[in-house]
Amino acid sequence: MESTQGLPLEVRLSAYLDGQLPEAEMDEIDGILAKDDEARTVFEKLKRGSEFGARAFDRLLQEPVPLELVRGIRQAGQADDDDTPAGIAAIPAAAGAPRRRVTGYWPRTVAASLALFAAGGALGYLVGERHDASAPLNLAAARTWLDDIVDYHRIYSRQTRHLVEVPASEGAHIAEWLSQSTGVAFTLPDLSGQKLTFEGARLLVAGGKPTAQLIYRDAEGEIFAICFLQSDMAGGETGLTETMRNDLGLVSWQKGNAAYVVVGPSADPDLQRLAETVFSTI
Amino acid sequence: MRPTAETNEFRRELVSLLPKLRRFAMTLTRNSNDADDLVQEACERAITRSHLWNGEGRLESWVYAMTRNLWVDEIRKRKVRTGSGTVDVGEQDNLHVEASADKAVYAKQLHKLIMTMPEGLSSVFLLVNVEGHSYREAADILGIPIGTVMSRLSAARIRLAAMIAEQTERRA
Repeated sequence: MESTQGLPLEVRLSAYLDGQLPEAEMDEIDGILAKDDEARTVFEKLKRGSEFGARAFDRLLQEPVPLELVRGIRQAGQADDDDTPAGIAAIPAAAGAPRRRVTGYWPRTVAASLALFAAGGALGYLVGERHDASAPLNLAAARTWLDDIVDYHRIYSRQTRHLVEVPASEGAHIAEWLSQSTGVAFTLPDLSGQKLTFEGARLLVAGGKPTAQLIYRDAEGEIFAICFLQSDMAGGETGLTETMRNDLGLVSWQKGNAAYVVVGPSADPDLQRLAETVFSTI
Repeated sequence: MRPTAETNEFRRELVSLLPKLRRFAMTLTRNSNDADDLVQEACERAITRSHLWNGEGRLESWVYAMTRNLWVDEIRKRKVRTGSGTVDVGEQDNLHVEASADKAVYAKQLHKLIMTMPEGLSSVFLLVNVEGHSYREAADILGIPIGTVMSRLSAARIRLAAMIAEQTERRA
């Protein structure tokens, strides 16, 4: 503990608030607070500032993290030709999104973002992010089937004995059962080329509809899932859209009569590529 | 370069830290765009130097220090380029709160108030008061003496308390 003797009273009281004073000084401050009204007023002010600031800073943690930052972490240190997998032209949206590289530093949209920020606080920030962001990122949309998928994944991926409902050894049954249950014909994707082992499947309810969940595990024990359900947008086809929910990354798309999503750890550098494989094989 | 299992794990830890890294960066830059660029640069640097991380202590402290160093470098460059940089805490005697803040919702006001705090105060407050770093850890991360941590922390609390009083007056 640092001695605070000789420092201004508010500094000493602030350290007292943190319990960061030597024992003898704690006793001294106790004595001051017991008999000095002005010291008590300052101390109460410090406490109010402390509590108010803590609440305000907690709010900053609730802001959405730009997907670009996650991509940057995934791709840092990898060669450029590693960023653009083969066949990407057939898959628009996030797969072909330009990667923002910081070279030196950032004299780019600072003035504009500051103006936006000053004008609208957090709203300005979000608008600025949308302007800059290269991939669709749902920031405050109504709850969708993907929210259900995220909830399921968080629960089931932590299961050890009961990770799946039907084990991988019953692959033929899984294909028949989930095709009939969901109304979506599919082929079980073989992801051994991506070093993923098929563990089995579950039938879920997402967005109020029966939803298939195919579960895979990588060599490090991380759980990945492919989920799909019959879609209202029959016949439509979209590109891959990447979103992030804290620790989980999602790559979703629409194809034929179904909507699909691949879920895995958000920091996994190969999640996008994995989704491309599933997109073309399922 | 294909990522190894170790670097993948490191990347995952960095991703999970992103909200905290952004918050810390915002206390340095006080605008979101700069904060995001700073975090990206710091994460890239952390990944390329991940072999130097010994796993002791808190990973965020290591990355925070890296982030702070990058920002100090950037401020120096800006001063050279434009002849200006951020205003030192000691030179800035008034908080600038937008007049339109009255019209903002409470959450946005809180956000704005934090962002208008001088950099030296808000980063110390965040590290010690919010994230529970010791005075010594905060001093090491920010590259300042413990005495400065203590005085800035006290000043931050007093300013924050003054903000509550200002808000109360406006509502009255």
